[in-house]
Amino acid sequence: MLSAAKLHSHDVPGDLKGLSICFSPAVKGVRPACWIGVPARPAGSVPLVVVHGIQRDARGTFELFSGYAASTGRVLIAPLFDEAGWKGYQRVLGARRADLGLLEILGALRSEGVLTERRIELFGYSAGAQFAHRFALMHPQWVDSATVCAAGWYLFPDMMPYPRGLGVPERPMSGYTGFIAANLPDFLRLPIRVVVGDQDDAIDEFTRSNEALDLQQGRTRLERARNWVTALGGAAARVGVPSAAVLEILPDCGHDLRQCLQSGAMPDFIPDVAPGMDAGRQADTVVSIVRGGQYE
Amino acid sequence: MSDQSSLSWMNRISAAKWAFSTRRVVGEDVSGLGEDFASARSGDLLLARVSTIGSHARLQLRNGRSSDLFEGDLVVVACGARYASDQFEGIARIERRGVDLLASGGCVGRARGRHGRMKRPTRLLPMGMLLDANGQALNLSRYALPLALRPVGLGVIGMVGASMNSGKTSAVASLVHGIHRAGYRVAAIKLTGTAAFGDYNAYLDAGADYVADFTDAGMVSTYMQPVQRIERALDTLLAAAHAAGCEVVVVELADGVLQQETAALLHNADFRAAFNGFVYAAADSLSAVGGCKVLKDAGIVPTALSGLICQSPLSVREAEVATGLPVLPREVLRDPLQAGALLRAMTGTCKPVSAIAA
Repeated sequence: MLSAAKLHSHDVPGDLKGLSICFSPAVKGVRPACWIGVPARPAGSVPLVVVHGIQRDARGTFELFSGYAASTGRVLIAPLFDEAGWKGYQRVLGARRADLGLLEILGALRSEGVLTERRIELFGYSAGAQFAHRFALMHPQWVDSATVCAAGWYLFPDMMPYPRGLGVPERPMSGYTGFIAANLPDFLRLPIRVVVGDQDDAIDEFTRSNEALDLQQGRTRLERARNWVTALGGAAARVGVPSAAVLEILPDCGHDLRQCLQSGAMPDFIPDVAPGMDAGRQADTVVSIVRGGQYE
Repeated sequence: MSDQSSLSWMNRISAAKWAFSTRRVVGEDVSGLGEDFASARSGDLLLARVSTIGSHARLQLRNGRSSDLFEGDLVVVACGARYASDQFEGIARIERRGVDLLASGGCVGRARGRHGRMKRPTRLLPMGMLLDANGQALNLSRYALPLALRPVGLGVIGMVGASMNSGKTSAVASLVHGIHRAGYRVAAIKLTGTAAFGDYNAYLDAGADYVADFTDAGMVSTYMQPVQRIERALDTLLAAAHAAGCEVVVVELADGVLQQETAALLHNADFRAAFNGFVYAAADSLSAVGGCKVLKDAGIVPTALSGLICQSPLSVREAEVATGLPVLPREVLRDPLQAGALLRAMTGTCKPVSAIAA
């Protein structure tokens, strides 16, 4: 059973009317903690899973999407891949299998009847975008659609070593299988929106860079997003499936989740800046203050 | 038949332990007992009394549990042949002076060979063949699922092996679990072998949404059955899995690839066409290499190897080098990522990796 601490609405800033919110603590090594929002009147749409960036602000990411989830009647899930338990979550495979962690959350929610849909919509920002597209490649059967927002780098549909490509990793990596290339056609059929700000072209301390990576993908997030979508189109042509990946460059937007959302990173997104919240706050720069299942 | 004698055999029938092989039989159909043992054929039902406990000291019951056997116990079992290289070979024959319990799932006949480590089989004294209201012998085939055409659109994975106890069932259960965790409705089918609940229960425990075996197609054992009958059974059981909403089916063929019915099936192109791919289970590297050659002769290149060989890293290395195939241990098959990707590699939704790499 998923252990969820139900919260009172007054604990949560912002207009979350109609969204019942729970925090589920982590099960060490098995399941990450997560925030869960359940609408009072579910619309029957696929649940939305939003994955934080490297600052691991699951709460902030959840808050940003909560109004949208409430208004659209969708279950909202924001896993917290904390540093101690899920280092390297963006690579999905490895010592801790972040994909299995998310599947554990979804399985628990299904067994409790919170989720009835098999598929999810994935939204990932920055490192979360890396997780999102790699998860979608690993498990396309679970994904209805995905938005890959401002990823630092990508898994390209080539045989470069995982996690840059589908090939054998340079070091042994738990969960890697040579058969993942077989997932590519189903992955390429998924509606994938690759979104990145038109000003997200700075090379900062978080931009992974080396000769091989830059040669394969480009140097900036903007350049890499373009190249990845082009590569997906080429792969789709080679394997004989229609490519469903699209690139959207967001105007007047840097590496900032709130800006991205306000610039159209999610279609029909309702900006829901909560009362009392700092409107200029970058959600992904706020360190999570979730402790012991309580929303502080 | 007098009321007294009628009551007597009815009491015996109701007091008997009904074997797992009889799980589809409707007890109310039994209207009498006959003594034409010489005419018994595979699948005919028999009431018998345990006379001597031998190698099988327990009987698998139709309710899914095992029962200790005691001399004097009454049992309802099915006449059939058995092919088990680690246990008995037997034929479907009932002799008035006694029959052999060939398998604990409730298959009886005449043993004509046994593995060196096996004791003599448990002996039963025939009390009567079960008859219907018309005096006809009740046979498992009467309770088979209706014949059906092979469905389209299912993902079907075959599990074959080097021999009995090469790790097939464990590999099937692991793969079923992995596919289940990957979010698919999955069925597990034991297509050949002798009725027993071990594999059946292992599939259920692994999370299979639908489980069936050849008994559901009316056979207590597939040994010495016409290959066409087994092939029809495959189509019928696949159709049942499809009707149960399954998207993927893992089919286990008992014994080794050299076993006569298994070999004949694998050499049958129409049979092979039912499968998207095969996994081959072996106990060691040499049987991995030899089995792959046998399969190649039948036009099959397995997608992966598994089985007991996985216990030995050195044997795994030898087999991978010699065959060029990956050897997948149970932990890998249970992984939803790996099971899902293996399924896709078999179902042919992708071109070879070389076509992907630009």
